[in-house]
Amino acid sequence: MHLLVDGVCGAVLAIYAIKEPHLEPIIFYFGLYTIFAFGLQGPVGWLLDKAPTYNKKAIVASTLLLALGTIPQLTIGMQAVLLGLGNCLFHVVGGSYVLRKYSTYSELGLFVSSGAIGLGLGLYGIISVWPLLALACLFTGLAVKNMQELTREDLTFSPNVLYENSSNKLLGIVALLFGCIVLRGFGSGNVLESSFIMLLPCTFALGKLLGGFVCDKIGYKKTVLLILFIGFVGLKIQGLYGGLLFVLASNMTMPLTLRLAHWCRIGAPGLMFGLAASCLVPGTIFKDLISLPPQLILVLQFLILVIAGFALLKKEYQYG
Amino acid sequence: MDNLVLEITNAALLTIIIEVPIFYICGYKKASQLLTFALVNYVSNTLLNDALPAYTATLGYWTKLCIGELLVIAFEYALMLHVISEDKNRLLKTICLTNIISIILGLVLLFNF
Repeated sequence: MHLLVDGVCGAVLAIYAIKEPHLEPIIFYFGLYTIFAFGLQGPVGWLLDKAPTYNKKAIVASTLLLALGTIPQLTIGMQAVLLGLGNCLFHVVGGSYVLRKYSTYSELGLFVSSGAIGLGLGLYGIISVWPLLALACLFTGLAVKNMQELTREDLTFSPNVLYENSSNKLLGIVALLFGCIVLRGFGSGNVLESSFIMLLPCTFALGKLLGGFVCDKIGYKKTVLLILFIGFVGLKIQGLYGGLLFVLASNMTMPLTLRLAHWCRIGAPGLMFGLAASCLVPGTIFKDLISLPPQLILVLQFLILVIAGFALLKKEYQYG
Repeated sequence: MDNLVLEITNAALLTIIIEVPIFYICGYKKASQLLTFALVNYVSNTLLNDALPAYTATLGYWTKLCIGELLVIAFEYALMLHVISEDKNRLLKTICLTNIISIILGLVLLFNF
C-alpha cells in the first residue's frame, strides 16, 4: 500500500510538472508537498500516539485525502497540500503499526522500501493516477478489514534485550540516530545517471529491504560492518556501479535507525517514526546547497550506528 | 587522478608501516589483531585522504585535518572494538598513541622531503 500511496502522489505531481513551463513553481509546489508529507509526520505521530486505536479511521482518512488531492479541478497548491496530508497520515499510521506489531527489522525494511518504487513509478509516468488510486482504495478496504486495532498496552511492549539508560542518554541516542537519517538524505545519489530511470528508486528500495532482512539474519553488529564494507567498496569503484553501491549501503541503515529510535521511546512509535521521516526533509531541500563528502557520511553513519548499538543492544554489544 | 590515487595508497601504506609496529609494541601481538589493525588503518586512511580534497567547506586544511584525525581515531576504535573486546580503555589509549605518533612522523616526512 505504501507503493500505491507514494505512487498516487508522484503521478499527480508529475502531471503538473509536465504542464508547467517554469522551474521555480515546480520547485515551490514539490517543496510544499514535501513539507506536508514529511515535515508534519512528527506532530501527526504524536497525536496518533495519544489515540492508538484510531488506526483504521486514519487509514481511511488518508485515502480520502489522497483521492481529493487527485481532483484535477483543484489548484496545484491545494492538491499538494491534500496529497501531502494524506501521505503524511498514511506513513505515520503504517510506520507506527509496523513498529508496534513487530520487534524485528525485516518488516520495517519491507514497509519503508516500497515507497521509493511507488514514487518512481508515479513520477516517471510509468503508471497513471487512476489505477494506482483504485488499488489504494482496494488495499485500504483490506487494511481496515484485517488490521488489528492495537491498544495502549501494545505501546508498552518492552524487549528484554535492551540496556537500561537514563532519559537524557536516550535523548542523546535519538538525536544521533536522527542525525544518521539526515545524513542519509544528503547521500542519496542525485548525480547518478542511467538509461534505466527506475534504477535509483529500485536501489533505494533494495537497500532498505536488504538492511532489514540481513539484520534479522546475521544480527545488528555484523550488519553495521556489512554496511560499512559495501559503502567503502562503493566509494572505491568509480562511476555508476560505485554510486549505486554507496546509495545501497546508505539506505540499508534506514530500518536499523528506525527500530533503534523506537526502542528509545517505546511508548511513542508514531512520534519516533514521524520525526525520523521529518529528518529526510533537510536532505531533500539543501542537498544542492550543502555538499558533504560521501566518505564523511559513511564514517559518521557507521559511528552513530555503533554508538547506538553499544548504548542499547544488550545481546549484540557487551561491555568489557 | 592516477597520481592522487597513488599518493593516497602510499600514504595508507606509510601509515600502516608506522602504526602496526606501535600497536605490536603496545601489547597486541596476535596475528589476527595486527592484520585487522592494518586493514582498519588502510580503510580509515583512504577514507580520510579521499574526503579531505572533497570537503569544500570554508575550513583551513589544518582544521579539516584535525577534525578528520579525531574522526579517524573514533572510527578505528569503533572498528577494533569488534575484534578486541577486553580492556577498552587500553585499546583507546593505544589507538590515540599510534595516531599521534603517525601524525608527527608524517609531518616530519612532509617537511623534510
